[in-house]
Amino acid sequence: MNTLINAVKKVYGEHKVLFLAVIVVLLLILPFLGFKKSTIRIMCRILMYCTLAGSLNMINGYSGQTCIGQAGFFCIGAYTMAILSTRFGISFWILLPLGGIMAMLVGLIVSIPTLRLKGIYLSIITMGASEVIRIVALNWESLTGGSFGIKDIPRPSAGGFLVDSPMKFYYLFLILAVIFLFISSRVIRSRAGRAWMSIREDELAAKALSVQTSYYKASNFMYGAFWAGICGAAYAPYLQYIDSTVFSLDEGFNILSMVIIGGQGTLAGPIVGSALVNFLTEILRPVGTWRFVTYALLIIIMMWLRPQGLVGASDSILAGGRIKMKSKSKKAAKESA
Amino acid sequence: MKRIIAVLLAVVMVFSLTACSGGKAETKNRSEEKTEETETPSKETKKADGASEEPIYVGVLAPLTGTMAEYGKTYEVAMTMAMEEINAAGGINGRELVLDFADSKGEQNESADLAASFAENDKYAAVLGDFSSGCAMAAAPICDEAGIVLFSPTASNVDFAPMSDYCFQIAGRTDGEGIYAAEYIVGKYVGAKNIAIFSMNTDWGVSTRDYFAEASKDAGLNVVFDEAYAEGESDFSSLITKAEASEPDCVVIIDQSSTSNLINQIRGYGWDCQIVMVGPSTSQQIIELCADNSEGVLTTASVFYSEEDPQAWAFAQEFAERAKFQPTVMAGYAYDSIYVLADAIARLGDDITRDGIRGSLAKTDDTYLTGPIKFSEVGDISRSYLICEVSEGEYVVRCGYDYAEE
Repeated sequence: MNTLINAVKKVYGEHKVLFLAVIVVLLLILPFLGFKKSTIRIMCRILMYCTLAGSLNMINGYSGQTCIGQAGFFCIGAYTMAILSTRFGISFWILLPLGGIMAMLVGLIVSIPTLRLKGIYLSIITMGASEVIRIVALNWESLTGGSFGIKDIPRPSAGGFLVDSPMKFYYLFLILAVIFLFISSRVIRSRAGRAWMSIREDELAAKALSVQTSYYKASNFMYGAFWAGICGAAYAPYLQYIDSTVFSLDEGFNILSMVIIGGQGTLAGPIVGSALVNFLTEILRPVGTWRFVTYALLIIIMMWLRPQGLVGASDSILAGGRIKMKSKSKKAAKESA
Repeated sequence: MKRIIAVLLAVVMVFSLTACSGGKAETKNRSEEKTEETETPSKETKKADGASEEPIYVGVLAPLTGTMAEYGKTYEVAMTMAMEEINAAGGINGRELVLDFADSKGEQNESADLAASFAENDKYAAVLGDFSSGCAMAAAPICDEAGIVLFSPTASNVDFAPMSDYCFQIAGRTDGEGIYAAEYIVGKYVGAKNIAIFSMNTDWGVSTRDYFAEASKDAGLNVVFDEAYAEGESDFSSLITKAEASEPDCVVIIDQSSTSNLINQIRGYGWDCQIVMVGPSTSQQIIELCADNSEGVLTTASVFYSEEDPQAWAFAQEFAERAKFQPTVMAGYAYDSIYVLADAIARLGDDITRDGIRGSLAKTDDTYLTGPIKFSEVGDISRSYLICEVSEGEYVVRCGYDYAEE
């Protein structure tokens, strides 16, 4: 088994650029392979969740803070888009970053009390914040339409080109996912990214090395929230109708399960998670209620066999060199023991 | 340990493989199952009039799993009953009716995706559902674009039907129910002057409350207390204290999920006021959960499954036997939706097109199990209501459909 993994690792390591190029080309021509509209819609969903689960992974996987209220930030972005585009007719392209910025500001507010908290307490705060956001969306009727939701959210257009079919949205979500991955891969290699990871590994040690943990924890939350907001802003015109029920805690757990199954702390993790979870949801449709049992079984087995997720850190094929060092140090620890 | 894991993993893999192979032929399998289920009646019909044409397929969006699964079950049981009855009676102009249920989990994006898969498959003549307004409204733009009827038996949001020419709903306009409750039950039947309103904060609750409050003012009633609460809330003590202090003659509860809880808490508080509930209709659960506390409670009902109405009674009995729970008003709507649609398709004769069905459905004007159904211009209906009272542990009709006209 290990030799196989190593072999795959080696091949992947040698032809990394080629692999990426093939994947990108495949993704670009995918919608033209004669899929049905409904299949393309599923691909849209997978791509959207790649970014959304990826944004959660930025928080959970890179700084080790456990956020389970990502649906709240998603909600902020979606409502920003829905309200401003239906009432004031502001362009999609302005509102897309604005949705992210609004979510980022809320992320800042949420992160303030969480700076003193850790682990389960932090999770509870994020969960509470997500529900508060949803309930505000449900009750602030004059602004959000309350339980009636907001309908007829206009589709994005650029210079007469209207993004109205699932295929066009596929490219929109694809571009978003690529931009997200590109920026994130740069960010995690930057000073901020390293600071986040040092907080994840050992907050006290990070502090001792003069990392301003509260500043970086807050900025990490804001970064994750920003992308969740962008996803919400892009998803609202795709659905065209939103109400508060879309952003329930269930949705938060759905996003979390993608990150857990796919693997935390790697960029590829949420992509695998999103693809697998959405794919399973469709594939297991005929088994009815049992699909939730399969789903649960999968998570239990994952926790058992690969607690780090399919392509999560440690000996994963896609994990970087940093992790190799970690496993080496583990080995060394074992030997010395 | 490793062996156990390996075995477990193998089991899951086998399981998912079988699921995969099932998945590819998903729609086909589903319809095959349905055909098998209805084989006996359809064979009989074939013998009876020699028709062996292609069946008519209708897609149904329903929350078969998830938090709204019980409503999905209501859909499944009630609609299957109607389908079997229609097929046993010779189908639609001799053609068998086949319903394909798809599980939306009560989630909007799932509902939209499933609607898209029905819409692009030419096999399907129309789409029924979804249960909740939110899901139905998420599916609406897709069905509108594809030009296929989306007919929701239970969506109550007043904005749903106007979204598209292809959208229809038969849950009854909330303005009708709210105005009826204010003018006739509270104003005329109870003769109250000061009223307290408790309402649930859902699309249905809010719009019913708005119409109710407006009609109350027009009827010269004085609203002394008016509070909304979130769906699923369970402790109403502070609201009840506040309501009692405002001394209303009559308490109106606009709710579809926690009415029994609220009634029990009001009575448990020792407050003996006249209660009118709008929403639960003649739900058996209210009587079961409130027991003596429900005595004297008044309700609006568009459907009443009583022994005096043999058709409704037979439906209620059969439904209870199959579903293992008493039918709600939703069950009646779901059941009726199949007949309404089947009649609309039957009127088309041999030339069945999606557009044809839309046109024909809009012309519906007949009386069904849950009362007369005639669509307005936008595709929704106004229902007539009964006034029922809980007396000695069961619902008794106090005023008929024509009370409003008297």
